[in-house]
Amino acid sequence: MIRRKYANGLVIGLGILLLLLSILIALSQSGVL
Amino acid sequence: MNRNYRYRGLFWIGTLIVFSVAPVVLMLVGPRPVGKPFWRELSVALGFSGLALMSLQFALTARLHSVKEPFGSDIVYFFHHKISLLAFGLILAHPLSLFIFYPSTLGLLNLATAPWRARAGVVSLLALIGLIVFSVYRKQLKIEYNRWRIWHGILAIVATLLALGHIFLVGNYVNTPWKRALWIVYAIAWVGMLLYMRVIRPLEMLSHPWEVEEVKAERGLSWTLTLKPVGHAGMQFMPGQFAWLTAWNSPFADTENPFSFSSSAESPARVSFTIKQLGDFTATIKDMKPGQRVYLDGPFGAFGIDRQDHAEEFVFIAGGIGITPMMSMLKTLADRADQRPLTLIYAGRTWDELTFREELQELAHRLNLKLYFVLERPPEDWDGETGFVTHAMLDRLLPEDRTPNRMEIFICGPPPMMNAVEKALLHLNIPLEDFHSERFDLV
Repeated sequence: MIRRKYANGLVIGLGILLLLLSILIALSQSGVL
Repeated sequence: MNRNYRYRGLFWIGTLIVFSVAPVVLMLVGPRPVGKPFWRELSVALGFSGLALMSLQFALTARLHSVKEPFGSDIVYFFHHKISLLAFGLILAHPLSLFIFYPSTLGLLNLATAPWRARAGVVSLLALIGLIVFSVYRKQLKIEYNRWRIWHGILAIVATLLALGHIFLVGNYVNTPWKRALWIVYAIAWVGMLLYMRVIRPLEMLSHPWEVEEVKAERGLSWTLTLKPVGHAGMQFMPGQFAWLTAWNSPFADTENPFSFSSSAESPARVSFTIKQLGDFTATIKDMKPGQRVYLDGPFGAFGIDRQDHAEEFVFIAGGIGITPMMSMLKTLADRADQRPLTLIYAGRTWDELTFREELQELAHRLNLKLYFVLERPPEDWDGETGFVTHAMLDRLLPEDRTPNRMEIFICGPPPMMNAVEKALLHLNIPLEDFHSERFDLV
């Protein structure tokens, strides 16, 4: 059960990281940043 | 988890994060294409993020021992399911955001008139939708497991390679030779993983064949299949682990099924699996004959006493055929003359269906084992435990000294039972680190 909890945490963490990176790229490329 | 596994686990998680974000970070490095409006750029970045995650699935499912060992196969598959849904969401957001903010792009869905770059993207997405739907609803759609596995592999390759084709044909963010080279290296790595799974592993299995020694009927419509190695020393495994079994076919046919060892880990040259007849492949076990050639891929799994050797006491909670890994652990402990206190809570439907009932009673004489049978439908003269394994029952049957890290609890059985037991253990303030579940519902 604890391993599943860590696995879920990693999925959520990776999802947030990729989403933030995507937003950063979009802001940078569209000239906002 | 011991320190070695912890460091190796952290190494692989770090590697996973690097490979997941590298393609996205590299979008920002070097000469970039001419900037476009925010939503269009976000759509592209989400597509790249999704593809990076999707491609990693080849590594997660390639059954690489060193990757799976620190975590256990069941959790790697659990992670594969979850991360694939995340990848699917990110990839789906790529066209959806384009359609919402640039409705003219909807025309790209018409495959007859769309340019090749859009055709590749659309067919890739359709393959991915098929992949996800067939996986999430395999049982409801009544798709046979091995048939599903073959189609799962084909759709994954089609979706990923066409997505790569889509990226190259669009040409944004692959505008330098080294960026193109990076994606080609990624693609070669995926094909390499597939080659390993479909060619190298089967070749290894073919060179280490096994032979059926005995097929013995057990209680509860189960059969114990005992195998002996042919021309090699056998398989060294830890009790509680499992292996993939191929029978009736060559290892290249990719028709294998995972089963827990039910024999002692102290006898690697004579291994047994106890398999309940649940349909498909499991219904053919009883027809196997001594001398029949079979193949094993393993061992896999992080479930077992050898990974928790610090424990002063072990508790096993099994339901139905979930007794098999426990049986392997108990037999191994008996062969090692281990006298640590043990408790087995074993739930089943009826007294007659309890697989290994007699063997367990014999083992109780060789081990320091408290044995509790829990029957859903007990006979009239039954004075033991009845019904389902509940919070109150566990509170009554578990050892009184519940100091954290002193006892390790192993759970294996039908998913509803495992969920209920895990919940009950948490309510009993058993730390999460002290109980371990084996889930065979891989798909």
